[in-house]
Amino acid sequence: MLQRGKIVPLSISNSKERIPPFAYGRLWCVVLLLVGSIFGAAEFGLRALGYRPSVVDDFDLWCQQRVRCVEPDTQNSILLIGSSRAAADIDPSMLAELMGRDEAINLSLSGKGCYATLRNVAEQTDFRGLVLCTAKPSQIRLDNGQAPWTAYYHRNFENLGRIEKQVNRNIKTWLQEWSVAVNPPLMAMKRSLEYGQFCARGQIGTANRQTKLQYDRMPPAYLERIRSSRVDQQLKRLQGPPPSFEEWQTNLEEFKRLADIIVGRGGTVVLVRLPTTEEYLEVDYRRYPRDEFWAAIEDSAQLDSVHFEDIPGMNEIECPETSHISENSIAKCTELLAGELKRLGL
Amino acid sequence: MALSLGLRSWTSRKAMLLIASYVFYAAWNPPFVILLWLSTLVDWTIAKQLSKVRASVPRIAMLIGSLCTNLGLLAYFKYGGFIAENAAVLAQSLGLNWSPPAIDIVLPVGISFYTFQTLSYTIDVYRGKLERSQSFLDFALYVSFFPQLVAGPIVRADHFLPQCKTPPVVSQRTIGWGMCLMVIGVFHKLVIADALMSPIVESAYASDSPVTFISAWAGTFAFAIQIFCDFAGYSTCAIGVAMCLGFALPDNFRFPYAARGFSDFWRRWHISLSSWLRDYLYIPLGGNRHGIFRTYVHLMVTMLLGGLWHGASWNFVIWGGLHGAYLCLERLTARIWEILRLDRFRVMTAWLSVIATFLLVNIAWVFFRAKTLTGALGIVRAMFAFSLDKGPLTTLAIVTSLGVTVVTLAIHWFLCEQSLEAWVANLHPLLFATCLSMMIVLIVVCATTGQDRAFIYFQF
Repeated sequence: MLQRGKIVPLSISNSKERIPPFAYGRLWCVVLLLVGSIFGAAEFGLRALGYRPSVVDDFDLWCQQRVRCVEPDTQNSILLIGSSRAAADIDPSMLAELMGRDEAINLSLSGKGCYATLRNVAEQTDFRGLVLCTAKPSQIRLDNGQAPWTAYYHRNFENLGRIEKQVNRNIKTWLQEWSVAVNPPLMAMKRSLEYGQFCARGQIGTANRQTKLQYDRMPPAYLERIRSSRVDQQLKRLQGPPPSFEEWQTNLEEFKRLADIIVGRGGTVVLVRLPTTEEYLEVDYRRYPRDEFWAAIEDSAQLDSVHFEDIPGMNEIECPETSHISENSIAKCTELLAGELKRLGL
Repeated sequence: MALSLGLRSWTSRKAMLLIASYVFYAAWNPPFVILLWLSTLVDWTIAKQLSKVRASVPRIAMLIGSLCTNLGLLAYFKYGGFIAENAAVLAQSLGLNWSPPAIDIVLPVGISFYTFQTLSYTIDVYRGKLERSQSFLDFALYVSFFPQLVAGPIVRADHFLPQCKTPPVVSQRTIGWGMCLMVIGVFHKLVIADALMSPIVESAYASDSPVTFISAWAGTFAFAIQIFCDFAGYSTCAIGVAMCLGFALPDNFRFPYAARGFSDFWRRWHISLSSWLRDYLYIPLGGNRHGIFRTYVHLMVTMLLGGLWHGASWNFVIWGGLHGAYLCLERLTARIWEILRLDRFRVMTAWLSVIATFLLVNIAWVFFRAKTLTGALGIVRAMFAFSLDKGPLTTLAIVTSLGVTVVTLAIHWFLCEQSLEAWVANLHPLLFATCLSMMIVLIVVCATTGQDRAFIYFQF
């Protein structure tokens, strides 16, 4: 290989003699002006198009909710755990208000079974409030999909480093709640071009990890695409071997054991089945018949439970893509759930 | 910066910076500040004694004391688990039924960096190359100066301590350019390393499906760019922050992917480490003063230990070993190049050298990035099994990886003979301001929406 014969000059140096000779005061004023103009124009344009700010969910946002489970007075708190439906169907603040509770903590995680979080809250906190575990019978499984979040919490939020993470996350959340431009809806804009009409973000995240699904602001063709992909996904599940009731019951017993730990220290655990419709619900019932599986939750495990089909009005809520409700149904769903929980004396 | 510059007395400013550095380190894990104090105290005391004692035996004993303390801490915290694991494997191969007690050691962040700094100080005082510091405050600040504490550049005492003697002139120019460096550094880290390259690398290296020729190369190119932008980004930020506080830190990178050969690569990549290894390991071992064969042995030992410095894993040893082998091979073939008089085709051979170096560096990166040796061998195998199958990477990921790699190589090639400062100085101020503004906009968007990823070198 060839060798360079001379000394290579420095690429990045702090040698004061070689600082580029700019008028730095003026340079930085121009930079600030340009940055302000770019963000200002983007903000104005995106809002004019109809886009709204959205908070991006991440490990730190989840941990900020998890921290609240170890506060001393949790007996008057609600804790939401589960998968996407818990985030998309319930307004945590509204639920807490309707039920006269201090706060609602949201530890749900999209696409992941809730076992790891339930276990973490049961075994590693002293939480003694109301736990709403939103799950379908198929989600009563020893799924560790949420374990990376609990592990992240213990690694990063149980030492002084959490201060930096919380400050960092609070700044991010504040910016994302306030501005569209800092979290530009690039995918939605791409979809708008693809479908030739305005396409909303699809989902709006909030600081308390609620997800608002904007199905009413999507082109029908796009909605149909999501719907068929959900249905296809469900139909594929039919091809797999049927679930073993015995195995499922063993999993249920583990859920019951964890629930008993929370109940034992004065808390309450309720399994909540939130709305799904049409083919999605149909396929689910074919694999997990309600009479057999949900009945086992109520009868043999004697866990407190709420099923959407038993709540008048809730079974009429539409799921545009069969699996989740739209943003404009959240208030109704939350109100009906709060009513049912109150009826149960919770 | 405001607190530091707001103080009138230079001693108070240094004391404030020292406290800030300890708070910075403690924010991660408070008890580990004790290690920093221990390392500072031991080397301060030993250097003080070394400057008083003239007899060689006690001086050697003191030097060994410093080496044992610093390398002992490093061995326990960084290599404890690795040593125990390998001892168990060795015991089993000898037919002994022994397994080590389960140990869960947390690696103190930056230990490899500040250990090398304190060691170099004591060794330089021992060699008589450096006067011991007269001020404990200055020495403590040298060990723990927060901009470079956790991931370098590894600063030498003879570079830093003289700066502590007199208060620096912090002007609009130094702050202005320091802030520019911070923006450039953060842009490298957040936009290129984290937002663009990291997802591609993760898809290629953590994929369940088999990696193919295209994915292996595209994923590894992406890692080459990621690790450069991550580490050089940190170094640039550290230099910028230090500059705003009135301190000068040494360079750590000089457009390394424009390197023509491996000696050139190591003059451009992680310069503060490679020069440390050269001065405190390679040359003391004998360097090139004892014949060709011994030179190769010294090169291999230096690079193997350099690999192990990065982490307690055989993958890092292999990475170091490959670079050692490359360096040996380069020396071995240097004569052939001369005989063939290839310097006649200067431009073509320069290009070929850059490309060959980059490709071979990438093969070594595989061992650096892969979690396991089996995983690394799988990627290397895929790199040599040509197929047109895309594998786990999407077309967009492949195009992004190749595109960014080509652009990076072109920039490194274009700038390798000049300094960033010289290049920036030739730009129109408005153009430079526009570039900075675009970088800030992208930084804000990526910082707000992207995933939080730690600097890769924090783990070392």
